[in-house]
Amino acid sequence: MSETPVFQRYEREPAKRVFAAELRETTHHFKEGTEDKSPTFVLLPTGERCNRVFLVGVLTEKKKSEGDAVFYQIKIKDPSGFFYVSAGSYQPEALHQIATIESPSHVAVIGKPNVFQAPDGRFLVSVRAESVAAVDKSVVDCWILDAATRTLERIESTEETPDRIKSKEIYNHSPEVWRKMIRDALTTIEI
Amino acid sequence: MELKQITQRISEKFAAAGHQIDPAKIEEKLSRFVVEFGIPEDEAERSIISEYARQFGVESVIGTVTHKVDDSAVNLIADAQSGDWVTLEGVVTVLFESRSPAVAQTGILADRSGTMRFTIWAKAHAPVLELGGWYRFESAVVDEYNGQLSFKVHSGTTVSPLAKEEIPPLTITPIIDLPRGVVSLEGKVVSLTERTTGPMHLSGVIADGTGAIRFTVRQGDPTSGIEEGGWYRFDYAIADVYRGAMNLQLNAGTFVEPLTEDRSLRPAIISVNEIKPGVVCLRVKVVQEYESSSERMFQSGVLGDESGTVRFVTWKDGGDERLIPGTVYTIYYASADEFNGRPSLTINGATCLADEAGNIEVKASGDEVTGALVHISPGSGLIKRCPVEGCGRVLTRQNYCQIHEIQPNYQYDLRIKGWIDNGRQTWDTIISREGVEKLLGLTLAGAQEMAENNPLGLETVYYHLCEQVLGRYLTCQGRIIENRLLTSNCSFLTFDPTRHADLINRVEVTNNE
Repeated sequence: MSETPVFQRYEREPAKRVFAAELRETTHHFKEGTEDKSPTFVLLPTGERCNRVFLVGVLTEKKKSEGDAVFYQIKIKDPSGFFYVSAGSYQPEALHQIATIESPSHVAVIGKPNVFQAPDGRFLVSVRAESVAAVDKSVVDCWILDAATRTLERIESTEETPDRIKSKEIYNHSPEVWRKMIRDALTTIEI
Repeated sequence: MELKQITQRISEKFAAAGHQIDPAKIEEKLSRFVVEFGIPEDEAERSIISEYARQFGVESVIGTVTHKVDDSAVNLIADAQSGDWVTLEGVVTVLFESRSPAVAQTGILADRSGTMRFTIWAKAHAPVLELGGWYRFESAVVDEYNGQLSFKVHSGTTVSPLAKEEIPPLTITPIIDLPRGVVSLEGKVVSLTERTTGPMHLSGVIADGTGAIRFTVRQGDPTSGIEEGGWYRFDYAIADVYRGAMNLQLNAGTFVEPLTEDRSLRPAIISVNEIKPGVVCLRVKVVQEYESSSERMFQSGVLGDESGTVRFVTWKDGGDERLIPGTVYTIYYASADEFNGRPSLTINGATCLADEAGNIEVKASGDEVTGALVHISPGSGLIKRCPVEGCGRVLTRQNYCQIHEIQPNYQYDLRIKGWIDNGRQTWDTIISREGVEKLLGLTLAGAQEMAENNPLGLETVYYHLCEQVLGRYLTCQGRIIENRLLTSNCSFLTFDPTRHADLINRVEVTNNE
């Protein structure tokens, strides 16, 4: 546990707050820059790029891969649907954390979204976990408010950024779809 | 323009530099450019000048023109751009010592729009400029060096002193509205300090009903006889921006006239969160006094009012008024600067009146960030610090300090290093021992015990913190310094029913289902 010297100050990509229903509809991914290590992004249907997500929900399924390499796939439910999250030997921290969490549990996940195309042409989005933590119900409720706020900000933004213009070309969701999703999510919170 | 005129101008320019060129030759060349090849006249003039300049080896003197400005009108310093040929009228506010025999004089010229550095080449044979004198420069060339504009006086530039009646008249400007450049104002000298070192001879503050401004008088300037507490009219002073604030320079060209009528001055008191670089008046409580960190410092600490807090310092040169912690003061005409992106007050020269009976509820200072702790970095948890005084570096597992090597008598500390993220922005944060203790109810002693009773040792504490804090929403209070948040106090965010209701309303309102 020694200090890691920071030679270069860098801007860490913020972890976007996205409901499962929106992340599931995401199909476009791209790379910023041409280098091998350049960051990859997915383009959210609400018009922002996303290289990292922070999500909170209920871990409902935990699957350990068969074979030599340890690999976990977990399913996490939020009010709008499911997130598919995985962790392999390149994510030792997340792997270790998932191993200790039983389903069902409330969990918070920080990870990187990826878009895959299945042989039948469908797009699948999964999140490669960086960290997973068991949390209590109050964090879930706070996250729903947080995700609702950020999603509303994205659909209400009138700034014509290149990402927003691009997302309008690729996706054709009415903002009302997302409003309904947000409202439904908010009403799942019992006061 | 007639080719003959251009010819004459070119030939005069080189004649002034000591090179005679047959005008017929110039005109023939010019006519080839313009008539035969259809080159625009100014372009042709430039080509010919630079050709001859190269031929005579006088490029630096003649310069090249990229853009010709009508030379009959006077240009403003503020409008000048690199490459312009300009006519300027202004006052010489500073003369620097020349560092090169090629330079006759160098200094700063000011007009009503701003100030600009100038260089007079020795070969220009220009008249010697006097400090505080007003001059007209015809056909000077503006260029840029290190992003700063300056103008050059070369042999083709005509320099002539302005007669008194040619000096542009000025109107009195309230201090708050002072623009850059040559200005006139009336005000009271509310503070005056004599300097024994540095190029500034006097410095102080001039105030009127609208505000206050710092002023300086350079060594050797004859502007003398001004006294603290007196009202004066200042004509042809120079206002310029220095470290984010407008400053006033009184120089040889400034006329200072005492005002005999007695005027009252009501300074405008502002709140701490309104402080901007410049001169300010405040009503504040002394929140804290720091131990002096420098030989030159007389006192430093923190002042505050209902709107926030600000650091202050009093330097030893002439500062002898110690502010008493816990006491409320009205401080007139303190100097505000920006230091590390935060305002900082200098009390020297200010007037501080204690209000023994007064009290102020000071607003807690600092920054607040609410977000999720998305990463906990190595170096979090129970750490060992170097015990050498003033060091405190984190030791490696082998108790090794980068500077002081092996330190077996280390001191334990507790902290969380990580990233706090609100979905739009991330902050590299360090939560201090106090912050961790309050957040988790885990004391430093408790953490030590935890480490001692567990085979994993120090790492136990690290895993404990990850389990308790990672992925949680925190509200952190502290200070942001260059995207790093130093958290001294933090708490877990709890569900806010009001925010929930607001969001439901917000999402419903525009829903047309």
